[in-house]
Amino acid sequence: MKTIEGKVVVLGAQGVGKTSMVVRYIGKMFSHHISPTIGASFFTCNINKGDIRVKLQVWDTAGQERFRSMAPMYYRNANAALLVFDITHPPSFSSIKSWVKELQRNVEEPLILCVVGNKTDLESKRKISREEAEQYAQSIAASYFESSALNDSGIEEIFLCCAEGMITLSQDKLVKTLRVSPSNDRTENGRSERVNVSNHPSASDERPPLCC
Amino acid sequence: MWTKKKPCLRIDESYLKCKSPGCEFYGNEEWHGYCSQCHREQFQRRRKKVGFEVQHQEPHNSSSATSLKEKYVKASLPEFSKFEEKKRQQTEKTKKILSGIFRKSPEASKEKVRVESLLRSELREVEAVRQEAQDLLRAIGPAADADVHKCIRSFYKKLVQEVENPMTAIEDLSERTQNFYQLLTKRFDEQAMYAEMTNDQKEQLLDYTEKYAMTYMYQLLFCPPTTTDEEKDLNIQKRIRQLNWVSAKHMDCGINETSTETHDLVYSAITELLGMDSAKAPQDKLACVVRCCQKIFTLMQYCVEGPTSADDFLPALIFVVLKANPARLKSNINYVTRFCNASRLMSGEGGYYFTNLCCAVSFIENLTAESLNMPEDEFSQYMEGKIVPSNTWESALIMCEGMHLMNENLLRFAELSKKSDILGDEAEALRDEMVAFHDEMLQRIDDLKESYPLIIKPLKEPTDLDAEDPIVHELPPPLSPQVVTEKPKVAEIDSPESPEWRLTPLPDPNLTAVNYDFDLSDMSGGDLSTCEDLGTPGYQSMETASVQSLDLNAYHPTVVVKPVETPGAASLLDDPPIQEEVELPSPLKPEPSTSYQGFSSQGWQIPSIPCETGASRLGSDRSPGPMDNS
Repeated sequence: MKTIEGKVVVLGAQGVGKTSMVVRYIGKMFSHHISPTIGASFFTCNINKGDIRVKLQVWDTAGQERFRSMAPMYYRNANAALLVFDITHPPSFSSIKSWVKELQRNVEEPLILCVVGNKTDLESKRKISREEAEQYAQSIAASYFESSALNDSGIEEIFLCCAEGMITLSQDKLVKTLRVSPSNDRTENGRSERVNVSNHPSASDERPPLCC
Repeated sequence: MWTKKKPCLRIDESYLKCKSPGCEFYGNEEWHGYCSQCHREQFQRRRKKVGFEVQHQEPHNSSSATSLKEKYVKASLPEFSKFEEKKRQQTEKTKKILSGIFRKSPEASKEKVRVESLLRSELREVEAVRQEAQDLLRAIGPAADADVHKCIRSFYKKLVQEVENPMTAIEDLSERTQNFYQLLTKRFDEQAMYAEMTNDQKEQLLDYTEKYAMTYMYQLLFCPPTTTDEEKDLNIQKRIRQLNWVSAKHMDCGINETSTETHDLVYSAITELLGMDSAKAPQDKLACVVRCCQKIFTLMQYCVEGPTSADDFLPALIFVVLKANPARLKSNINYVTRFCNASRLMSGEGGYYFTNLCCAVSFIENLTAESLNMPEDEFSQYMEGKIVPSNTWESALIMCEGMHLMNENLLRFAELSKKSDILGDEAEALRDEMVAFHDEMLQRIDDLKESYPLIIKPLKEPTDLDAEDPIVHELPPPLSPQVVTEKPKVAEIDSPESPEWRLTPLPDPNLTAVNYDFDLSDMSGGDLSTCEDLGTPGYQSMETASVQSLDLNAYHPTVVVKPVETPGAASLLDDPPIQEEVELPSPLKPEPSTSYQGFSSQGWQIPSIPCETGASRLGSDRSPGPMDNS
């Protein structure tokens, strides 16, 4: 079993629901044993895809404008970026665009981009149409997702997409920041066995993320 | 230092000349093919480009020659002269020869002595590190143990050599260290003697190596005189001191400065952050940062509803850094950045929190009025100390210590008075309840009294069965016909009382047989005997009552039964044959009508049941009891 370790940075303006999204995702996976003292701004999760385990390190960032200049420290060495905006709030969408420009300018290694339109529960107040966002995502070669942290919809897909993207990236020899390590049988055996039991052997994709 | 290292600028063919165009000096492999002067220039430029440095603090950044001079004059004069000498030598010889000369030169050996004395000062702690890892070292076996220490030794020998050369930039040392980590990782994976180890053990061994080597060389690598770290430390310290008026409100991080719990948590976070300076190994410093950040998360959970996000966390961290003003902050950060295993720093919780700390420091360095959302002039006034905001942390600490106490006491009083109010209310409620209960009880008793009135019947005297009783005469006639079958016998036994209707009941043997069982449970005999034994006139016995009230239609419990004159009572007392009478079942019992009627009359006279039963029990035992309350 191969293990890929990658860093995912969550970017977006303040109040678009970055943290809620992440919390929702962790809450589902760790509902029993997440330590309450650890905040939601950093967490790791393992997603198993076939015989590959993808270890995602999710870095939440502060969305305030005044911390904007510090962002390079966060997305340095990142392998994926979740660009979150609020579908009811057009400025948050334009801030995504400036984020993308900045990333394209500063990050040399290939980066998986996921544009996420959050707050679909406020469909009636929607200002950014799905088409518009999808079109934009296509133009920057990103995948587009819509989610609702409140209703817990569409969040798992985002992280799955990141994991899939990392697997693709790992086949690219040029990517150095992604840490690929063939698991040592002696140590990983117990773990991988446990994972295999819960995984359906035939299904190759769209399997629920498992964590340990 | 946040950009990646530039691709190696090594020149294969002619590394003798300096790489920068138009420079007449010889280059050096150690300095990427530049001469020392150009390398430094290049290096400074690179640093400046990164933007991580404090802009305002390095006026000498632009001209490297003066900066070099300044720095070395500042550091120590002998070193400067040594530098000049070396530079001269450099122009003549290749690096290899040069290094040989260096080692032999008296200055260099003096340097070596200094280095060794520095290293020696760490020996005790290094031993402690080794002791700590005792279990791990034993687990991996002596061969691996020896090999690891051999690696470390060779590494620090090399590193010490470089440190001796004051021209070695700290970046090179850092690179060398990182290479060492990488080589070691590779070695662990490839060498046979490490094959037995688990991945976890390898990680631990790497940690140990890092800790061991870095603790050993701490004095050499931490804040070395060749860098401007110390200067930066002073600058940031001054800056933070200038910013001491910044409050949690300015940072907009939701920390309530006046609550005691918050104080405690902020203090513990500050303590952890300050602890960073006393730790030696980079990973220990990192661990301090992680602990500090976790304390801040606890704090944020206390202050802010819901999960803590980076939006809340970063301002809080900045606030803590501002209030802590940790010693040698920049040196520590640089040290960790340079000498912590890069793979650790890049990933994981430690990396995240460390990045946040760097972010906080960078924010503090570049703090402007805009970043605090306040007007420019107000900001500058604060900075110059012209105005002091009322709600700073210090004033909250010093001035408001008494206020805190007062507030807390007031809160406590409010709580107490609330509690006493509740107590009063409850007491009143209890009283009302009790009154209600009392009334209800009385009411119930009244009701009961009404529905079950206590009938105090006048004392009854034993019925004189022989007397002329109008009631007896009113008795329905049908009874008498049943009576007489064995009249002579009855009369003989019961002569004293013998009312005809009563003593007749043994008409035929059939009836006798039937009523025999009945006789024991029946109370007639016992009753009579009790009355006799006590010798007191009681209520009329059940038997008699039933006898009297044979005309039951007219009987009512509330109606006081008229006492019946029983003159024959006295004679009964003395009458011995009473035993006989009981023994003889037949004569008394057989009369079915009597016993039947007695039952029904019993139903009427509930209150008098107990005494009757008691009496009957006693009677049936044939041991006359001393008491009879009737």
